[in-house]
Amino acid sequence: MSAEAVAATTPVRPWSRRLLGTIARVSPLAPATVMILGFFLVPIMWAIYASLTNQGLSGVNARNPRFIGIENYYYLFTDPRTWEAVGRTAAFVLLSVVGQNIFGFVIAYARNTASAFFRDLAGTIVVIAWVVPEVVAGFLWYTFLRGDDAGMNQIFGLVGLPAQEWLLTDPLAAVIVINVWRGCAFSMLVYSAALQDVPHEIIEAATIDGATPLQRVFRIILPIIRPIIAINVVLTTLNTLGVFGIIWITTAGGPGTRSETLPILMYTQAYDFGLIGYGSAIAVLLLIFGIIASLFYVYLFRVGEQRSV
Amino acid sequence: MFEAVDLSKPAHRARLAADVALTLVAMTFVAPMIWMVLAAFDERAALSIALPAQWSLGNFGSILTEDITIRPFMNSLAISFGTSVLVVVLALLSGYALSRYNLKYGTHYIYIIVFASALPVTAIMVPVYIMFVHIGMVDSLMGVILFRAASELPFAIWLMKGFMDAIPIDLEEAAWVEGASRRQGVVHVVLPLVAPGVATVFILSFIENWGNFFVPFVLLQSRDNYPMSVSLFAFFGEYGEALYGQLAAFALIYTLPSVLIYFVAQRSLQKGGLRLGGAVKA
Repeated sequence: MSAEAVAATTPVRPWSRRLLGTIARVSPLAPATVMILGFFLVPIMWAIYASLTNQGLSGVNARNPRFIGIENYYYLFTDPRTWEAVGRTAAFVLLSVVGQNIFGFVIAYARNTASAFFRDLAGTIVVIAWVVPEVVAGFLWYTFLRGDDAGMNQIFGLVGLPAQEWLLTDPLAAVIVINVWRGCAFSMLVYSAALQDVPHEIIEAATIDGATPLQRVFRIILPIIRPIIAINVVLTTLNTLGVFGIIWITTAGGPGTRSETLPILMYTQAYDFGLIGYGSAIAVLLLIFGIIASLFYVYLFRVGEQRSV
Repeated sequence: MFEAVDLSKPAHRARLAADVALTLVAMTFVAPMIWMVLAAFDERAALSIALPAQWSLGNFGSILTEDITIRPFMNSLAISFGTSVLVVVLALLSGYALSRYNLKYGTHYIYIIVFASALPVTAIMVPVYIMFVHIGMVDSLMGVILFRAASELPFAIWLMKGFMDAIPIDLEEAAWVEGASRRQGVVHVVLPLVAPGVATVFILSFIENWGNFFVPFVLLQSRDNYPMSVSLFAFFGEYGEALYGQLAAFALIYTLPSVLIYFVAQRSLQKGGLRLGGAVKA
Protein backbone atom coordinates (compact mmCIF):
# COMPACT_ATOMS: atom_id res chain seq x y z
CA MET A 1 0.00 0.00 0.00
CA SER A 2 1.44 3.35 -0.97
CA ALA A 3 2.17 6.06 1.58
CA GLU A 4 -0.71 8.31 0.69
CA ALA A 5 -3.14 5.40 0.70
CA VAL A 6 -2.01 4.72 4.27
CA ALA A 7 -2.49 8.38 5.05
CA ALA A 8 -5.95 8.40 3.53
CA THR A 9 -7.21 5.56 5.71
CA THR A 10 -5.81 7.04 8.94
CA PRO A 11 -8.33 9.31 10.67
CA VAL A 12 -5.80 11.44 12.54
CA ARG A 13 -2.78 12.37 10.48
CA PRO A 14 0.27 13.24 12.52
CA TRP A 15 2.83 15.51 10.87
CA SER A 16 5.12 12.59 10.03
CA ARG A 17 2.35 10.91 8.02
CA ARG A 18 1.52 14.18 6.29
CA LEU A 19 5.16 14.61 5.38
CA LEU A 20 5.28 11.08 3.98
CA GLY A 21 2.16 11.84 1.98
CA THR A 22 3.65 15.02 0.57
CA ILE A 23 6.84 13.23 -0.34
CA ALA A 24 4.88 10.51 -2.12
CA ARG A 25 2.93 13.12 -4.08
CA VAL A 26 5.93 15.22 -5.03
CA SER A 27 8.40 12.40 -5.72
CA PRO A 28 7.22 11.72 -9.31
CA LEU A 29 8.30 15.28 -10.13
CA ALA A 30 11.79 14.71 -8.76
CA PRO A 31 13.65 13.13 -11.71
CA ALA A 32 12.45 15.67 -14.26
CA THR A 33 13.00 18.56 -11.87
CA VAL A 34 16.53 17.45 -11.09
CA MET A 35 17.31 17.19 -14.79
CA ILE A 36 15.82 20.57 -15.63
CA LEU A 37 17.62 22.28 -12.75
CA GLY A 38 20.88 20.49 -13.51
CA PHE A 39 20.90 21.26 -17.19
CA PHE A 40 19.21 24.68 -17.21
CA LEU A 41 19.70 26.48 -13.92
CA VAL A 42 23.25 25.28 -13.31
CA PRO A 43 24.44 26.27 -16.82
CA ILE A 44 22.77 29.67 -16.51
CA MET A 45 24.58 30.26 -13.21
CA TRP A 46 27.74 28.90 -14.76
CA ALA A 47 27.41 31.26 -17.71
CA ILE A 48 27.18 34.23 -15.37
CA TYR A 49 30.21 33.00 -13.44
CA ALA A 50 32.27 32.13 -16.54
CA SER A 51 31.50 35.52 -18.08
CA LEU A 52 33.40 37.09 -15.18
CA THR A 53 36.54 35.01 -15.88
CA ASN A 54 39.09 34.70 -18.63
CA GLN A 55 38.15 31.03 -19.20
CA GLY A 56 39.67 29.74 -22.43
CA LEU A 57 38.94 26.75 -24.63
CA SER A 58 42.46 25.36 -24.32
CA GLY A 59 45.80 26.21 -22.72
CA VAL A 60 46.43 27.77 -19.31
CA ASN A 61 43.17 29.72 -19.28
CA ALA A 62 41.20 26.54 -19.80
CA ARG A 63 42.65 24.83 -16.72
CA ASN A 64 43.03 27.82 -14.42
CA PRO A 65 40.60 30.57 -15.38
CA ARG A 66 41.14 33.81 -13.49
CA PHE A 67 38.40 36.06 -12.13
CA ILE A 68 38.54 39.29 -14.11
CA GLY A 69 35.39 41.11 -12.98
CA ILE A 70 33.36 42.82 -15.65
CA GLU A 71 36.22 43.05 -18.14
CA ASN A 72 34.42 40.79 -20.67
CA TYR A 73 31.33 42.97 -20.46
CA TYR A 74 33.45 46.09 -20.85
CA TYR A 75 34.89 44.73 -24.11
CA LEU A 76 31.52 43.40 -25.19
CA PHE A 77 29.69 46.68 -24.76
CA THR A 78 32.44 48.84 -26.26
CA ASP A 79 32.97 46.65 -29.34
CA PRO A 80 30.94 47.94 -32.29
CA ARG A 81 30.82 44.34 -33.56
CA THR A 82 28.54 43.47 -30.64
CA TRP A 83 26.07 46.23 -31.44
CA GLU A 84 26.10 45.35 -35.11
CA ALA A 85 25.28 41.75 -34.16
CA VAL A 86 22.50 42.95 -31.84
CA GLY A 87 21.08 45.06 -34.68
CA ARG A 88 21.26 42.16 -37.12
CA THR A 89 19.66 39.83 -34.59
CA ALA A 90 16.85 42.36 -34.14
CA ALA A 91 16.35 42.63 -37.91
CA PHE A 92 16.57 38.85 -38.33
CA VAL A 93 14.03 38.19 -35.58
CA LEU A 94 11.66 41.03 -36.50
CA LEU A 95 11.50 40.31 -40.23
CA SER A 96 11.39 36.53 -39.73
CA VAL A 97 8.55 36.84 -37.25
CA VAL A 98 6.60 39.31 -39.38
CA GLY A 99 7.16 37.16 -42.48
CA GLN A 100 6.26 33.86 -40.81
CA ASN A 101 3.14 35.26 -39.21
CA ILE A 102 1.84 37.09 -42.27
CA PHE A 103 2.57 34.26 -44.71
CA GLY A 104 1.45 31.68 -42.17
CA PHE A 105 -1.88 33.45 -41.75
CA VAL A 106 -2.38 34.10 -45.47
CA ILE A 107 -1.66 30.47 -46.35
CA ALA A 108 -3.95 29.24 -43.58
CA TYR A 109 -6.69 31.61 -44.75
CA ALA A 110 -6.30 30.60 -48.38
CA ARG A 111 -6.39 26.93 -47.39
CA ASN A 112 -9.71 27.55 -45.70
CA THR A 113 -11.19 28.83 -48.98
CA ALA A 114 -9.40 26.65 -51.55
CA SER A 115 -10.49 23.33 -53.04
CA ALA A 116 -9.35 20.22 -51.20
CA PHE A 117 -6.61 19.36 -53.70
CA PHE A 118 -4.79 22.70 -53.44
CA ARG A 119 -5.34 22.89 -49.70
CA ASP A 120 -3.58 19.55 -49.21
CA LEU A 121 -0.89 20.23 -51.82
CA ALA A 122 0.21 23.55 -50.31
CA GLY A 123 -0.18 22.26 -46.76
CA THR A 124 1.99 19.21 -47.42
CA ILE A 125 4.77 21.12 -49.15
CA VAL A 126 4.91 23.92 -46.58
CA VAL A 127 5.02 21.37 -43.76
CA ILE A 128 7.81 19.39 -45.45
CA ALA A 129 9.91 22.57 -45.52
CA TRP A 130 9.45 22.69 -41.75
CA VAL A 131 10.05 18.99 -41.03
CA VAL A 132 13.26 18.84 -43.11
CA PRO A 133 16.23 18.81 -40.68
CA GLU A 134 17.92 22.16 -40.16
CA VAL A 135 21.22 21.16 -41.76
CA VAL A 136 19.40 19.87 -44.84
CA ALA A 137 17.44 23.13 -45.08
CA GLY A 138 20.70 25.07 -44.96
CA PHE A 139 22.31 22.78 -47.52
CA LEU A 140 19.30 23.02 -49.86
CA TRP A 141 19.30 26.80 -49.76
CA TYR A 142 23.05 27.01 -50.18
CA THR A 143 22.82 24.99 -53.38
CA PHE A 144 19.70 26.89 -54.47
CA LEU A 145 21.30 30.32 -54.12
CA ARG A 146 24.97 29.70 -54.82
CA GLY A 147 26.24 30.84 -58.21
CA ASP A 148 24.91 31.64 -61.68
CA ASP A 149 23.91 28.01 -62.39
CA ALA A 150 22.00 27.47 -59.14
CA GLY A 151 18.28 26.79 -59.07
CA MET A 152 17.08 30.27 -58.22
CA ASN A 153 19.04 31.86 -61.03
CA GLN A 154 17.74 29.21 -63.43
CA ILE A 155 14.20 30.22 -62.47
CA PHE A 156 15.07 33.93 -62.61
CA GLY A 157 16.51 33.34 -66.08
CA LEU A 158 13.28 31.72 -67.26
CA VAL A 159 11.20 34.71 -66.20
CA GLY A 160 13.75 37.25 -67.45
CA LEU A 161 15.18 38.45 -64.13
CA PRO A 162 18.92 39.14 -63.80
CA ALA A 163 21.05 36.57 -61.92
CA GLN A 164 21.52 37.20 -58.20
CA GLU A 165 24.15 36.18 -55.68
CA TRP A 166 22.24 36.92 -52.48
CA LEU A 167 24.53 34.90 -50.19
CA LEU A 168 27.29 37.36 -51.09
CA THR A 169 25.41 40.59 -51.80
CA ASP A 170 22.56 40.41 -49.25
CA PRO A 171 23.46 37.65 -46.82
CA LEU A 172 21.21 38.87 -44.00
CA ALA A 173 18.19 39.14 -46.32
CA ALA A 174 19.00 35.65 -47.64
CA VAL A 175 19.04 34.02 -44.19
CA ILE A 176 15.79 35.81 -43.31
CA VAL A 177 14.15 34.39 -46.45
CA ILE A 178 15.44 30.93 -45.53
CA ASN A 179 14.14 31.24 -41.99
CA VAL A 180 10.71 32.42 -43.15
CA TRP A 181 10.55 29.49 -45.58
CA ARG A 182 11.38 27.09 -42.78
CA GLY A 183 9.18 28.61 -40.09
CA CYS A 184 5.98 29.35 -42.05
CA ALA A 185 4.46 25.92 -41.44
CA PHE A 186 4.37 26.39 -37.70
CA SER A 187 2.41 29.65 -37.94
CA MET A 188 0.24 28.15 -40.67
CA LEU A 189 -0.74 25.24 -38.41
CA VAL A 190 -1.42 27.54 -35.47
CA TYR A 191 -3.56 29.89 -37.57
CA SER A 192 -5.38 27.03 -39.32
CA ALA A 193 -6.43 25.77 -35.89
CA ALA A 194 -7.39 29.32 -34.85
CA LEU A 195 -9.51 29.85 -37.96
CA GLN A 196 -11.46 26.67 -37.22
CA ASP A 197 -12.56 28.27 -33.95
CA VAL A 198 -13.94 31.46 -35.53
CA PRO A 199 -17.73 31.01 -35.48
CA HIS A 200 -19.19 30.66 -38.98
CA GLU A 201 -22.35 32.59 -38.09
CA ILE A 202 -20.42 35.78 -37.35
CA ILE A 203 -18.71 35.72 -40.73
CA GLU A 204 -21.93 34.87 -42.54
CA ALA A 205 -23.78 37.66 -40.75
CA ALA A 206 -21.06 40.14 -41.74
CA THR A 207 -21.20 38.93 -45.35
CA ILE A 208 -24.95 39.45 -45.45
CA ASP A 209 -24.43 42.94 -44.01
CA GLY A 210 -22.19 43.65 -47.01
CA ALA A 211 -18.70 43.32 -45.49
CA THR A 212 -16.03 42.89 -48.17
CA PRO A 213 -13.57 39.99 -47.81
CA LEU A 214 -10.86 42.39 -46.59
CA GLN A 215 -13.21 43.88 -44.00
CA ARG A 216 -14.09 40.39 -42.82
CA VAL A 217 -10.39 39.63 -42.26
CA PHE A 218 -9.38 42.91 -40.63
CA ARG A 219 -12.56 43.76 -38.73
CA ILE A 220 -13.74 40.32 -37.64
CA ILE A 221 -11.29 37.44 -37.97
CA LEU A 222 -8.10 39.16 -36.80
CA PRO A 223 -9.72 40.74 -33.70
CA ILE A 224 -11.23 37.38 -32.73
CA ILE A 225 -7.94 35.46 -33.01
CA ARG A 226 -5.86 38.30 -31.51
CA PRO A 227 -4.83 36.33 -28.36
CA ILE A 228 -3.49 33.54 -30.58
CA ILE A 229 -1.63 36.03 -32.76
CA ALA A 230 -0.01 37.49 -29.63
CA ILE A 231 1.14 34.13 -28.30
CA ASN A 232 2.33 32.97 -31.72
CA VAL A 233 4.33 36.15 -32.28
CA VAL A 234 6.11 35.69 -28.95
CA LEU A 235 6.70 32.01 -29.66
CA THR A 236 8.12 32.59 -33.13
CA THR A 237 10.31 35.34 -31.64
CA LEU A 238 11.72 32.90 -29.11
CA ASN A 239 12.28 30.24 -31.77
CA THR A 240 14.04 32.71 -34.05
CA LEU A 241 16.26 34.19 -31.35
CA GLY A 242 18.22 30.94 -31.06
CA VAL A 243 18.56 30.15 -34.77
CA PHE A 244 22.10 29.03 -35.49
CA GLY A 245 22.30 26.14 -37.96
CA ILE A 246 20.82 27.64 -41.11
CA ILE A 247 22.98 30.77 -40.79
CA TRP A 248 26.11 28.83 -39.92
CA ILE A 249 25.67 26.50 -42.88
CA THR A 250 24.71 29.02 -45.56
CA THR A 251 26.86 32.06 -44.71
CA ALA A 252 28.67 31.25 -41.42
CA GLY A 253 27.90 34.86 -40.50
CA GLY A 254 29.70 36.22 -43.54
CA PRO A 255 30.85 37.56 -45.89
CA GLY A 256 32.96 39.25 -43.24
CA THR A 257 30.45 39.72 -40.44
CA ARG A 258 27.53 40.78 -42.64
CA SER A 259 25.12 38.11 -41.43
CA GLU A 260 26.57 37.65 -37.95
CA THR A 261 23.80 37.43 -35.34
CA LEU A 262 24.34 36.98 -31.58
CA PRO A 263 24.33 33.15 -31.60
CA ILE A 264 26.91 33.19 -34.43
CA LEU A 265 29.04 35.79 -32.61
CA MET A 266 28.82 33.71 -29.43
CA TYR A 267 29.94 30.55 -31.19
CA THR A 268 32.74 32.27 -33.11
CA GLN A 269 34.20 33.93 -30.02
CA ALA A 270 33.88 30.86 -27.80
CA TYR A 271 35.08 28.18 -30.23
CA ASP A 272 36.92 29.75 -33.16
CA PHE A 273 38.81 32.20 -30.94
CA GLY A 274 38.72 30.01 -27.84
CA LEU A 275 37.40 32.79 -25.63
CA ILE A 276 34.92 30.84 -23.50
CA GLY A 277 34.62 33.60 -20.90
CA TYR A 278 33.85 36.20 -23.52
CA GLY A 279 31.48 33.81 -25.30
CA SER A 280 29.70 33.30 -21.98
CA ALA A 281 29.18 37.06 -21.68
CA ILE A 282 27.50 36.99 -25.12
CA ALA A 283 25.45 33.99 -23.95
CA VAL A 284 24.29 36.02 -20.94
CA LEU A 285 23.27 38.88 -23.23
CA LEU A 286 21.35 36.47 -25.47
CA LEU A 287 19.76 34.87 -22.41
CA ILE A 288 18.54 38.24 -21.16
CA PHE A 289 16.67 38.77 -24.44
CA GLY A 290 15.35 35.20 -24.20
CA ILE A 291 14.22 35.63 -20.58
CA ILE A 292 12.37 38.86 -21.39
CA ALA A 293 10.52 37.21 -24.29
CA SER A 294 9.91 34.08 -22.23
CA LEU A 295 8.37 36.05 -19.35
CA PHE A 296 6.12 37.70 -21.86
CA TYR A 297 5.16 34.24 -23.11
CA VAL A 298 4.27 33.05 -19.60
CA TYR A 299 2.20 36.20 -19.11
CA LEU A 300 0.20 35.55 -22.30
CA PHE A 301 -0.10 31.88 -21.35
CA ARG A 302 -1.61 32.83 -17.97
CA VAL A 303 -4.02 35.27 -19.56
CA GLY A 304 -5.06 32.55 -22.02
CA GLU A 305 -5.56 29.97 -19.25
CA GLN A 306 -7.68 32.33 -17.19
CA ARG A 307 -9.81 33.15 -20.22
CA SER A 308 -10.42 29.50 -21.08
CA VAL A 309 -11.40 28.59 -17.49
CA MET B 1 -11.67 16.70 -56.10
CA PHE B 2 -12.07 19.45 -58.70
CA GLU B 3 -15.42 21.17 -58.80
CA ALA B 4 -16.86 23.18 -61.69
CA VAL B 5 -16.08 26.88 -61.39
CA ASP B 6 -18.78 29.45 -62.09
CA LEU B 7 -17.07 32.84 -62.08
CA SER B 8 -20.34 34.72 -61.65
CA LYS B 9 -20.53 33.45 -58.06
CA PRO B 10 -18.35 35.27 -55.48
CA ALA B 11 -17.68 32.07 -53.54
CA HIS B 12 -16.35 30.42 -56.69
CA ARG B 13 -14.19 33.43 -57.54
CA ALA B 14 -12.76 33.34 -54.00
CA ARG B 15 -12.03 29.65 -54.31
CA LEU B 16 -10.28 30.10 -57.64
CA ALA B 17 -8.18 32.95 -56.21
CA ALA B 18 -7.21 30.79 -53.23
CA ASP B 19 -6.34 27.86 -55.53
CA VAL B 20 -4.08 30.07 -57.67
CA ALA B 21 -2.42 31.61 -54.60
CA LEU B 22 -1.76 28.20 -53.08
CA THR B 23 -0.29 26.92 -56.34
CA LEU B 24 2.20 29.80 -56.24
CA VAL B 25 2.95 29.06 -52.57
CA ALA B 26 3.51 25.39 -53.33
CA MET B 27 5.82 26.20 -56.25
CA THR B 28 7.86 28.69 -54.21
CA PHE B 29 8.22 26.36 -51.26
CA VAL B 30 9.08 23.30 -53.30
CA ALA B 31 11.66 25.05 -55.53
CA PRO B 32 14.65 24.71 -53.17
CA MET B 33 13.82 21.05 -52.54
CA ILE B 34 13.59 19.75 -56.12
CA TRP B 35 17.32 19.84 -56.64
CA MET B 36 18.04 17.41 -53.80
CA VAL B 37 15.61 14.81 -55.10
CA LEU B 38 16.96 14.97 -58.67
CA ALA B 39 20.66 15.30 -57.80
CA ALA B 40 20.52 12.30 -55.48
CA PHE B 41 19.82 10.08 -58.51
CA ASP B 42 22.36 11.77 -60.77
CA GLU B 43 26.00 10.75 -60.47
CA ARG B 44 27.06 13.83 -62.45
CA ALA B 45 24.90 16.28 -60.54
CA ALA B 46 25.92 19.93 -60.58
CA LEU B 47 24.35 22.91 -58.87
CA SER B 48 21.62 23.48 -61.43
CA ILE B 49 18.24 21.79 -61.27
CA ALA B 50 18.25 19.23 -64.08
CA LEU B 51 16.78 15.84 -64.82
CA PRO B 52 19.59 13.29 -64.59
CA ALA B 53 20.90 12.34 -68.05
CA GLN B 54 21.04 8.88 -66.55
CA TRP B 55 19.03 7.95 -63.48
CA SER B 56 21.19 5.95 -61.13
CA LEU B 57 21.45 4.69 -57.58
CA GLY B 58 25.23 5.10 -57.75
CA ASN B 59 25.30 7.97 -55.26
CA PHE B 60 23.49 5.88 -52.69
CA GLY B 61 25.85 2.98 -53.37
CA SER B 62 28.89 5.18 -52.79
CA ILE B 63 27.73 6.60 -49.48
CA LEU B 64 26.18 3.49 -47.94
CA THR B 65 29.32 2.59 -46.05
CA GLU B 66 29.85 2.08 -42.35
CA ASP B 67 31.79 5.34 -41.93
CA ILE B 68 29.79 7.71 -44.11
CA THR B 69 26.18 6.78 -43.52
CA ILE B 70 25.53 3.76 -41.33
CA ARG B 71 27.32 4.82 -38.13
CA PRO B 72 25.94 8.39 -38.20
CA PHE B 73 22.49 6.96 -38.88
CA MET B 74 22.78 4.66 -35.87
CA ASN B 75 24.07 7.54 -33.73
CA SER B 76 21.10 9.70 -34.76
CA LEU B 77 18.82 6.81 -33.97
CA ALA B 78 20.43 6.30 -30.55
CA ILE B 79 20.17 10.01 -29.68
CA SER B 80 16.60 10.39 -30.92
CA PHE B 81 15.31 7.15 -29.47
CA GLY B 82 17.18 7.42 -26.15
CA THR B 83 16.07 11.00 -25.61
CA SER B 84 12.46 10.33 -26.54
CA VAL B 85 12.15 7.33 -24.21
CA LEU B 86 13.64 9.31 -21.34
CA VAL B 87 11.41 12.29 -22.07
CA VAL B 88 8.25 10.17 -22.24
CA VAL B 89 8.95 8.30 -18.98
CA LEU B 90 9.84 11.40 -16.96
CA ALA B 91 7.01 13.44 -18.48
CA LEU B 92 4.53 10.68 -17.58
CA LEU B 93 5.64 10.73 -13.95
CA SER B 94 5.56 14.53 -13.69
CA GLY B 95 2.42 14.91 -15.76
CA TYR B 96 0.56 12.46 -13.53
CA ALA B 97 1.59 14.20 -10.32
CA LEU B 98 0.71 17.65 -11.69
CA SER B 99 -2.61 16.46 -13.05
CA ARG B 100 -3.84 14.26 -10.20
CA TYR B 101 -2.39 15.58 -6.94
CA ASN B 102 -3.56 18.96 -5.80
CA LEU B 103 -0.02 20.17 -5.16
CA LYS B 104 0.46 23.34 -3.16
CA TYR B 105 2.75 24.96 -5.71
CA GLY B 106 1.51 23.02 -8.74
CA THR B 107 0.43 26.09 -10.69
CA HIS B 108 3.71 27.86 -9.98
CA TYR B 109 5.57 24.77 -11.09
CA ILE B 110 3.67 24.78 -14.39
CA TYR B 111 4.44 28.45 -15.01
CA ILE B 112 8.12 27.76 -14.44
CA ILE B 113 7.92 24.80 -16.82
CA VAL B 114 6.27 26.95 -19.49
CA PHE B 115 8.92 29.62 -18.95
CA ALA B 116 11.74 27.09 -19.28
CA SER B 117 10.20 25.50 -22.38
CA ALA B 118 10.40 28.82 -24.21
CA LEU B 119 14.02 29.72 -23.40
CA PRO B 120 16.36 29.54 -26.41
CA VAL B 121 18.58 26.52 -25.79
CA THR B 122 21.25 28.02 -28.07
CA ALA B 123 22.01 30.60 -25.41
CA ILE B 124 23.12 28.07 -22.79
CA MET B 125 25.27 25.85 -25.00
CA VAL B 126 28.56 27.53 -24.12
CA PRO B 127 28.10 27.06 -20.35
CA VAL B 128 26.70 23.55 -20.90
CA TYR B 129 29.89 22.76 -22.79
CA ILE B 130 32.10 24.02 -19.92
CA MET B 131 30.00 22.05 -17.45
CA PHE B 132 30.35 18.89 -19.55
CA VAL B 133 34.12 19.37 -19.73
CA HIS B 134 34.21 19.50 -15.93
CA ILE B 135 32.08 16.40 -15.39
CA GLY B 136 33.74 14.50 -18.24
CA MET B 137 30.70 14.18 -20.48
CA VAL B 138 32.00 15.94 -23.58
CA ASP B 139 32.03 13.73 -26.67
CA SER B 140 29.58 11.25 -25.18
CA LEU B 141 26.27 10.22 -26.75
CA MET B 142 24.87 9.75 -23.26
CA GLY B 143 25.72 13.37 -22.48
CA VAL B 144 23.86 14.55 -25.59
CA ILE B 145 20.87 12.38 -24.69
CA LEU B 146 20.70 13.71 -21.12
CA PHE B 147 20.95 17.32 -22.20
CA ARG B 148 18.49 16.95 -25.05
CA ALA B 149 16.03 15.23 -22.73
CA ALA B 150 16.38 17.99 -20.14
CA SER B 151 15.78 20.67 -22.73
CA GLU B 152 12.67 18.95 -24.04
CA LEU B 153 11.17 17.97 -20.72
CA PRO B 154 9.50 21.28 -19.84
CA PHE B 155 7.36 21.27 -22.99
CA ALA B 156 6.77 17.51 -22.78
CA ILE B 157 5.61 17.71 -19.15
CA TRP B 158 3.17 20.47 -19.96
CA LEU B 159 1.85 18.53 -22.95
CA MET B 160 1.55 15.30 -20.96
CA LYS B 161 -0.26 17.05 -18.11
CA GLY B 162 -2.83 18.23 -20.66
CA PHE B 163 -3.36 14.67 -21.90
CA MET B 164 -3.69 13.43 -18.29
CA ASP B 165 -6.21 16.17 -17.46
CA ALA B 166 -8.39 14.92 -20.31
CA ILE B 167 -8.75 11.47 -18.69
CA PRO B 168 -11.68 11.54 -16.24
CA ILE B 169 -10.59 10.83 -12.68
CA ASP B 170 -13.80 8.82 -12.16
CA LEU B 171 -12.28 5.93 -14.09
CA GLU B 172 -9.39 5.72 -11.66
CA GLU B 173 -11.67 6.13 -8.67
CA ALA B 174 -13.80 3.26 -9.91
CA ALA B 175 -10.68 1.09 -9.99
CA TRP B 176 -9.79 2.12 -6.42
CA VAL B 177 -13.28 1.22 -5.25
CA GLU B 178 -12.71 -2.22 -6.78
CA GLY B 179 -9.64 -2.48 -4.58
CA ALA B 180 -6.92 -1.42 -6.99
CA SER B 181 -3.95 0.45 -5.55
CA ARG B 182 -2.95 3.79 -7.04
CA ARG B 183 -0.13 2.10 -8.90
CA GLN B 184 -2.49 -0.51 -10.37
CA GLY B 185 -4.88 2.27 -11.34
CA VAL B 186 -2.10 4.09 -13.15
CA VAL B 187 -0.87 1.01 -14.97
CA HIS B 188 -4.24 -0.49 -15.95
CA VAL B 189 -6.44 2.58 -16.35
CA VAL B 190 -4.38 5.70 -17.00
CA LEU B 191 -1.57 4.33 -19.18
CA PRO B 192 -3.80 2.75 -21.85
CA LEU B 193 -5.88 5.94 -22.07
CA VAL B 194 -2.88 8.24 -22.25
CA ALA B 195 -1.31 6.22 -25.08
CA PRO B 196 -2.08 8.90 -27.74
CA GLY B 197 -0.33 11.45 -25.50
CA VAL B 198 2.66 9.15 -25.14
CA ALA B 199 2.79 8.74 -28.92
CA THR B 200 2.56 12.49 -29.50
CA VAL B 201 5.30 13.36 -27.03
CA PHE B 202 7.51 10.56 -28.32
CA ILE B 203 7.12 11.49 -31.99
CA LEU B 204 7.57 15.24 -31.45
CA SER B 205 10.68 14.56 -29.41
CA PHE B 206 11.99 12.09 -31.96
CA ILE B 207 11.61 14.46 -34.92
CA GLU B 208 13.08 17.35 -32.96
CA ASN B 209 16.14 15.30 -31.98
CA TRP B 210 16.57 13.76 -35.39
CA GLY B 211 16.88 17.25 -36.86
CA ASN B 212 18.86 18.89 -34.09
CA PHE B 213 22.29 20.17 -35.06
CA PHE B 214 23.63 22.64 -32.54
CA VAL B 215 23.68 20.44 -29.42
CA PRO B 216 25.67 17.51 -30.90
CA PHE B 217 27.75 20.01 -32.89
CA VAL B 218 28.93 21.64 -29.64
CA LEU B 219 29.06 18.58 -27.39
CA LEU B 220 30.52 15.89 -29.67
CA GLN B 221 34.06 15.86 -31.01
CA SER B 222 34.98 12.56 -32.56
CA ARG B 223 33.68 11.54 -35.93
CA ASP B 224 32.62 8.13 -34.60
CA ASN B 225 30.02 9.84 -32.43
CA TYR B 226 28.57 12.21 -35.01
CA PRO B 227 24.88 11.92 -35.78
CA MET B 228 23.60 12.54 -39.33
CA SER B 229 23.24 16.31 -38.80
CA VAL B 230 26.86 16.90 -37.83
CA SER B 231 28.10 14.37 -40.41
CA LEU B 232 26.25 16.13 -43.20
CA PHE B 233 27.76 19.42 -42.10
CA ALA B 234 31.26 17.92 -41.98
CA PHE B 235 30.76 16.11 -45.30
CA PHE B 236 29.51 19.34 -46.85
CA GLY B 237 32.57 21.22 -45.56
CA GLU B 238 34.97 18.65 -47.02
CA TYR B 239 33.40 17.69 -50.33
CA GLY B 240 30.78 20.42 -50.72
CA GLU B 241 32.08 21.70 -54.02
CA ALA B 242 32.67 18.32 -55.62
CA LEU B 243 30.36 15.48 -54.69
CA TYR B 244 26.98 17.13 -55.05
CA GLY B 245 25.16 13.96 -56.00
CA GLN B 246 26.43 12.03 -53.00
CA LEU B 247 25.65 14.93 -50.68
CA ALA B 248 22.12 15.08 -52.03
CA ALA B 249 21.73 11.32 -51.54
CA PHE B 250 22.97 11.60 -47.96
CA ALA B 251 20.64 14.53 -47.28
CA LEU B 252 17.73 12.58 -48.73
CA ILE B 253 18.40 9.53 -46.55
CA TYR B 254 18.69 11.83 -43.54
CA THR B 255 15.47 13.70 -44.36
CA LEU B 256 13.15 10.78 -45.14
CA PRO B 257 12.63 9.45 -41.58
CA SER B 258 11.40 12.81 -40.20
CA VAL B 259 9.09 13.41 -43.14
CA LEU B 260 7.69 9.86 -43.04
CA ILE B 261 7.14 9.86 -39.29
CA TYR B 262 5.51 13.26 -39.43
CA PHE B 263 3.01 12.33 -42.09
CA VAL B 264 2.19 8.95 -40.59
CA ALA B 265 1.42 10.64 -37.28
CA GLN B 266 0.14 13.95 -38.64
CA ARG B 267 -3.43 13.77 -37.44
CA SER B 268 -2.69 13.06 -33.80
CA LEU B 269 0.24 15.48 -33.77
CA GLN B 270 -1.81 18.43 -34.92
CA LYS B 271 -4.41 17.65 -32.31
CA GLY B 272 -1.93 17.22 -29.50
CA GLY B 273 0.98 19.42 -30.40
CA LEU B 274 -0.91 22.60 -31.10
CA ARG B 275 -3.40 22.57 -28.30
CA LEU B 276 -4.09 26.00 -26.81
CA GLY B 277 -1.96 27.66 -29.46
CA GLY B 278 0.82 26.39 -27.26
CA ALA B 279 3.54 24.92 -29.11
CA VAL B 280 6.05 22.71 -30.71
CA LYS B 281 9.48 24.22 -30.85
CA ALA B 282 10.48 24.60 -34.46
